[in-house]
Amino acid sequence: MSAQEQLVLDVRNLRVTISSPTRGVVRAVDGVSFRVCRGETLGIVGESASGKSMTALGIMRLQPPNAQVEAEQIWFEGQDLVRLTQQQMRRLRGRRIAMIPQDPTTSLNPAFTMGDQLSEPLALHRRLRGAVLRDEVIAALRRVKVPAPEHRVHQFPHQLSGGMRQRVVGAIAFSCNPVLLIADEPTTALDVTIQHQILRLLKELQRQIGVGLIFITHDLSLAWRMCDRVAVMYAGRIVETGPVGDLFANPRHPYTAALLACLPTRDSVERLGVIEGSPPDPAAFPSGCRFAPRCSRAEDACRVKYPEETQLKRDRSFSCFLPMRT
Amino acid sequence: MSDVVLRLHDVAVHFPVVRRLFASRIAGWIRALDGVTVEVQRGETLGIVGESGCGKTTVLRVILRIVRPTAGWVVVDGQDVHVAKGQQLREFRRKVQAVFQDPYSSLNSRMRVDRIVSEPLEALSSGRMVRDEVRGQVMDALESVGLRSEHAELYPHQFSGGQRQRIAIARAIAPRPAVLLLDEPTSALDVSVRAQILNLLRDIQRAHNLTYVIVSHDLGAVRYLSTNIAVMYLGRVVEVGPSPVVCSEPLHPYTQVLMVGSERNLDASAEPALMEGEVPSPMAVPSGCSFHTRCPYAMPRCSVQEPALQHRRGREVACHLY
Repeated sequence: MSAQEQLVLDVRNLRVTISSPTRGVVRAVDGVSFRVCRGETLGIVGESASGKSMTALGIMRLQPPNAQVEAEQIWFEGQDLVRLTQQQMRRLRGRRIAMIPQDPTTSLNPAFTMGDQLSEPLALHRRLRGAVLRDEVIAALRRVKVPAPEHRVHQFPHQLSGGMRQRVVGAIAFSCNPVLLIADEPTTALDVTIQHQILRLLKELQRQIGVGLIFITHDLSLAWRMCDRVAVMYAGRIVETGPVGDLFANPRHPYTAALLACLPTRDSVERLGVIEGSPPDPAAFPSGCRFAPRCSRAEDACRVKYPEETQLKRDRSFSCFLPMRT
Repeated sequence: MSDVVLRLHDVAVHFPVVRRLFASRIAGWIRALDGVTVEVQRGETLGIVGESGCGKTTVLRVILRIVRPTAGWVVVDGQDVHVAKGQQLREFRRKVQAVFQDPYSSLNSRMRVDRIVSEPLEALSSGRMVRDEVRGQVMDALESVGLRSEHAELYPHQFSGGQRQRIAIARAIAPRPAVLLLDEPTSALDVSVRAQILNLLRDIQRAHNLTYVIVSHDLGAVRYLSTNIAVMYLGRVVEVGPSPVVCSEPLHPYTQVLMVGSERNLDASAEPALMEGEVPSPMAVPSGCSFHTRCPYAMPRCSVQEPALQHRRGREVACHLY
């Protein structure tokens, strides 16, 4: 990331807290900061319940009703998203910030045709009507390479395959030329070959309109393929961040290193690396470093205080008292 | 030294599609499996990979006697499982056990762990087992999957996903089977937990000399466990051979696409020709090679003549290119 690159999103100290009657206060996202530039892909990787999806919803201010979003700032195009009203947010969502959720079966409305669902953002944000709107809908479908778009606009979601549905969701996301796109596990529900197609399409469209992309995934090899920079989340916090090549080649946080060791390689004959235990309950985080109970390097100090972020260079940092050596 | 535990010989499963209005009539057939011949040696692992709808789960269902084959036979330890009766059938039920994908739905949430694990034992031993003997086997099974004896008195909801999968594995190995069928055993698990389960499966296999058949779309997992890998497309095996051979030098164009993205050290330049389109409907399988509609290397001959599995470079592959 060079200095002249244009900043799209600057999140500082984002917190999403959920108050649950049974579990108490759950700190799903607990002080997360990152930036995204134009045309850049930031990967957020982590295991389930690490807070990666809640981070996305927090930025969009689409958190569940019993959750609260706080942040020092969520800077986006000169505005602070935390301070906007829901009405102001609605004008941004789908137009300047778009989202591709995980499962296209649940994100599309089964009762409306593809044409209807694609027209909605175009009519709402770009005020298109009549023939112009119809042409634009077909152009949007053509952009995501849906075959026979004139025919598809009259079809309902159940008449399309999973891959086609995710293409339509992509068409909706890109329909208003957003500056920021959040893709939350966009291919997890799809088969491998379809996954390749969707990811390649996503990259292509990103290049065309220079959108800043936040790519959320649990799959490290996907992050490796798709992202420029990666932030690794554990128990509601970013534990390490950096350019994808450096982070994967020289992980400094023991969690990142352990995650990488868990992946089978081309010829793993030896045992896989293992992280003992399971992630902590977000309603009761351990004191000190949250990874300490599972960390093989942890010492007493790790269990007392949460480690400050160590900035190695620009865009390369980690939070650990006893980092891995490179 | 050949000791084949499980053999599928030319197995086909065709499901009729029935339209019912006033009279039922068969409107067509779905080709779930066709001409599948594979075998597994004792103590080895066969991995089956492919996209959804390729028939990989049907293979497991045919082995488990949930589905009857339209043609061909399934042999476990020299016994055709679909003709087995009485004592032989009981013995087969004990010998072949399965672990399923989702440990949240495969365990009865109203049963304690000891009951979950002991139920198949009691059912399969026709009441001849003494209570202490059952208890002993349950404890052995729990111990070998890394659970402690106090876990026996808990209910499934008190465990994490990884531990639940351990319980499912304990239930499967308690009757001391010869063959373990693993249907996407790690797909519902997180990366770090997935590694624990994969290591565990490998340890158990060595300790008990078990034979595995693993079905998964997670190529990393399959590659890690498998001795041999079979790649399936639309109900047929398109490539089968020793795992290192198939993985390091995939020959079939479909296998080549599947292998991308399955390993840690991804080379960005190694992207294969992008496969267009989607899997055709198994009700209307393309003529000739069923993959020709999506194959980047398709030749005129591919749409006419169906390629047979041929021995090429250390594995069997069904493709006109070789």
